[in-house]
Amino acid sequence: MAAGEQVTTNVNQFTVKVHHQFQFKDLQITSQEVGRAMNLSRKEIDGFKPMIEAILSDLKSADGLECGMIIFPVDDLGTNDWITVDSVSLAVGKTIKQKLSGAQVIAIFICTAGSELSSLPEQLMKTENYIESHIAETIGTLAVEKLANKLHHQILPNSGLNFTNRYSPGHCEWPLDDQQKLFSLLPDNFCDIHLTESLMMQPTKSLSAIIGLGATVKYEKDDCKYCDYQPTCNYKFFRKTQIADYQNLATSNP
Amino acid sequence: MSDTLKKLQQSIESGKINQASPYPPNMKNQIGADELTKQALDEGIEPETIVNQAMIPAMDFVGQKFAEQKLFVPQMLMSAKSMSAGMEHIKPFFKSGAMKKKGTFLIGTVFGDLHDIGKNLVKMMIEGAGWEVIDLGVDVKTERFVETIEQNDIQAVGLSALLTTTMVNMKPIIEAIRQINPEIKILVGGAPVNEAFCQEIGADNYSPNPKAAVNYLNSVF
Ligand code: B12
Repeated sequence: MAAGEQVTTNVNQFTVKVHHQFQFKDLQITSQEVGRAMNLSRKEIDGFKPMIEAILSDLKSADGLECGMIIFPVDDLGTNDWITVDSVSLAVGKTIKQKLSGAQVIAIFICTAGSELSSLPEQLMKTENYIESHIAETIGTLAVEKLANKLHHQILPNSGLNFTNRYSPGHCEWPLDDQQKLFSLLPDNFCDIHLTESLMMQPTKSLSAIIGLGATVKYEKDDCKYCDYQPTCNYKFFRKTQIADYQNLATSNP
Repeated sequence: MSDTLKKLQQSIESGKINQASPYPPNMKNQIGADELTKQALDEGIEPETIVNQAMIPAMDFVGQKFAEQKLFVPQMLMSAKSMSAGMEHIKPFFKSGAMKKKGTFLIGTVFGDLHDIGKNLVKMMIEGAGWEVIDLGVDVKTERFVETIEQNDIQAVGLSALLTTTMVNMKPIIEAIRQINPEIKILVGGAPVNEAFCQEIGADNYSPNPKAAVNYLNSVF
């Protein structure tokens, strides 16, 4: 595990809490990675490199990056397209429910790139530095995804159980309104992420998700096929990094 | 068309800002839109000709390539940036009244939503097509749209939503705008939005990409 505070406590007899804090530099994001995440060819990256490196260097001392999860045992996933975790019923919908079926344990996790990284794109936009804003945007997303990968592909494998892909409220048929119920399963102010009145997470560069663990569940490399947004998706690089992290987990484990 | 205008158009299409800019790598050390616009003005070419014959066609080309998914967001942003580098030299002519903007376009991501990558592209393309654009950012409440319309002379409004839970927020915004000024054209967009939804909520146009939005504006104004 990279630098950062690690608190692993038994909240009660059953649930387990994991919480990590990082500095931006711990994630070791490179200009190559940022360029690839922007869908640039290797040649094009050279042209963008000075701009990307300037922003990475401005962010050198950025902190407030956090990720954490609460792990719940489940005896009964519930009926229909719902799952019930610690008496909270989540309307995950048919597709996600199917993927989670067989899970003995459910991990609810959130992560954030922090307020500095989250507000940078908007600041740069205001000063009409559009391209820099887009670069900062990509860096923020990359940071969130990397944090999520740490929980998903470095920490969860230690459980010795198989795990599913991660699913967020708003994905597939899972309504975004369930964000509130998902947050009710987490301690107050967990990871310093808050929900606005309209159920958006603050800081903006944040992610919430659910993962199932069990003997029979599995991680699917090609889960893009369940998504309606494939044609316009500029997220393919992030998927690829996740799969790479998944494949490397044996070597990157502490 | 003059050689300078041709080169200017090429520079914008390939995102070459100025001589110092390292992008695109195959045009390293060449002059870009910044120097070429100045050169065109020095050659006595009318600012209006520069905009209409080199700049707008270049952005049009880029918009088309983007719609065909042959170009991605960063390349489009580089083109927009080179265009604005050139525009810096044209701006004084707007101020002096020698050139006119096509109108003022108001844009924002509706309340509850923070996705703005698509909205920002639409903003830049519409700017590139000769409009003044007021951008209200993300999570914009109905009242902010209304206030801004009351305080400015707005001809068209663009609403963006990327969530199925927030696209419904377009409806109350459209109703409020219609109440204060039924003449304003309202465009809607974002991945979950489609033509049927556009009609259902009473918007004037649904555009799947910035190029289509510019085409619509050109057909109406
Ligand atoms: C990038 C992204 C993000 C970024 C947003 C960054 C930003 N500043 O915008 C981040 C990582 C922050 C993010 C977060 C979330 N996201 Co998101 N995100 C996306 C993603 C992958 C791409 C959107 C995008 O930028 N596309 C590229 C641009 C260029 O395309 P576009 O936006 O469609 O715009 C084009 C057209 O639509 C049109 N257009 C757009 N607006 C307008 C306006 C007008 C007037 C016109 C004419 C045209 C027009 O022109 C544009 C250019 O062609 C989409 C999936 C997808 N493929 O669409 C999910 C997606 C929108 N997100 C989704 C979700 C659920 C979330 C989260 C809620 C997930 C979570 N629970 O953690 C979070 C919320 C975070 C929070 N703080 O609360 C879901 C929404 C599903 C739904 N039910 O509605 C999607 C569809 C993913 C999915 N597969 O389910 N997200």
